[in-house]
Amino acid sequence: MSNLSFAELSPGYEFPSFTYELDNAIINKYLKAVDSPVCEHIPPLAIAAYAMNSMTQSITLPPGSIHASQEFEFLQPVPIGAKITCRAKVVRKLVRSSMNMLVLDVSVFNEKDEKVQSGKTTIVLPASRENE
Amino acid sequence: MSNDIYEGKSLPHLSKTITQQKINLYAEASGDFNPIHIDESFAAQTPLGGTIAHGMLILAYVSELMTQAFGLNWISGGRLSIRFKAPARPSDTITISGTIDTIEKENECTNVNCSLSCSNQKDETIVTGSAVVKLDS
Repeated sequence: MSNLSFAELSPGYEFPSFTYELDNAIINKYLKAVDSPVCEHIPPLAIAAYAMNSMTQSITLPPGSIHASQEFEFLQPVPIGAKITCRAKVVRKLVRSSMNMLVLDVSVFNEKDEKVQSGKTTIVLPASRENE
Repeated sequence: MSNDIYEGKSLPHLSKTITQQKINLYAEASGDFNPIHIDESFAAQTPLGGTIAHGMLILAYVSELMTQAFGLNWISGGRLSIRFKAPARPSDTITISGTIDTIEKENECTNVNCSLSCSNQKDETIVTGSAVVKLDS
């Protein structure tokens, strides 16, 4: 499937879901990157990073796009080795002459289909010529 | 609820130094290869003037602070809301700090409301935000 551009996204669009197995090797790589101690459960921001990645695999953000704000709710711990499924959708899209904005809702579920995390991401994108 | 948790308490702060190597490691771990983070020649030609750390890397530090302060309560009942105010750049030393602002009873639970901030070595604010941790009463 080819990546979608900002212009092709509209509120309500649901991204394809992605499932990851967050095993020891993946979590150790993450912990090394964030310079954090080893832990019993998957750090919630590691789960969030994979959830974000599930979206960015589906869209092409123009260079210069910036993560402006972020909300999270962590609902239950996730053990290392668990499989998670990430689902995301567009909740708001704003087009201005100077910039574009995209607000995305992300939910993460465990193998029992229980929600373990939710989040809202706001991305500011540089304006494209079509805005003018 | 622990006696260690009271309004006005400062949470033990964290300090992290950003390097391009850490940013590159985070790109590999997260799969976020946006050139603004990893391509120095590209980033130099943008209004930001150079590479910047992933916002999610800074949030990982915020979450580490909250995990150290609240343990399992953070990862099983925490809420975080933040705004990125300025970029964190290679060689910046980021101080992540938090304060317990208010403690509220809600049914069988207690909500601990915290304010959070990250600032660099020039005392410029990188991130501001708030967090709520739900504790069993």
